[in-house]
Amino acid sequence: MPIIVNVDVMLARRKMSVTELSERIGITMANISILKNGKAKAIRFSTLEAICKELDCQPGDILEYQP
Amino acid sequence: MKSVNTLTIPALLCKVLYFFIAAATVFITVIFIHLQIAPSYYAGWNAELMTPKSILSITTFERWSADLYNESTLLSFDKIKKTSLYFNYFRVLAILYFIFLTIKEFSKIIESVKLIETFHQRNILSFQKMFRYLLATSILFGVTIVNGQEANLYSYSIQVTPLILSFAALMMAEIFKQGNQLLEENQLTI
Repeated sequence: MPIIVNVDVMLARRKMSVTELSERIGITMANISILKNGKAKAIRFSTLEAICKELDCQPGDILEYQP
Repeated sequence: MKSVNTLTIPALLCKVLYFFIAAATVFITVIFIHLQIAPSYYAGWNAELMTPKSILSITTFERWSADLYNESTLLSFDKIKKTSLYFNYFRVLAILYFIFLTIKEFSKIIESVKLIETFHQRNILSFQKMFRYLLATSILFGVTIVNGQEANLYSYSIQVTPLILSFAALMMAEIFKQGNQLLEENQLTI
């Protein structure tokens, strides 16, 4: 899929661990892993909103289109 | 909860069918053994019994090798050759075994639906297996080869009921495959 999820990049920039993010936004570590590994088929607006809020970023910082 | 109650009836029906298959196997085996011990007892039983006659069957081929007018009396159970007898016995056993396997797969599907794992990969495989078993049942059911001491009977009829059921199972496998894809998509939506 040409959509790349850059959650790990944003986590590194914010110096936040995956565990901390999962606790803050209330989704499981397994789902964060699916997102990080690019195995996710879709992302809910609510999840995206929560991630953007916690990482203080824009959706474009997390999602990238690589044709 | 409601679906679980609804599924109790087919689950129970499967168990009843298991019993009938077991009973039929025992009955056929007893007749098979008794026929070899006392063949004269079966003098009145015509071998045409082995040719399935139902509304939903199409006889495509039937051939009697005897030239006499009243040829059917030449092929009573007691006059059937041993090889033919064994062939038909194992053919019937195979049919019962395939029906048993079909019911077993169906029971597995019912159990998984009860556990709300309806669109699991194993249900797709179960439906595909059911297709193969029912197709085999349809083929075996249609074949009649009876060799007697004075006459032979060869016939082939297409059994519509198991054929329709087999293709219904194949269709269900495709539907469940799509359901499985949707389930996977739903599970991978974060």
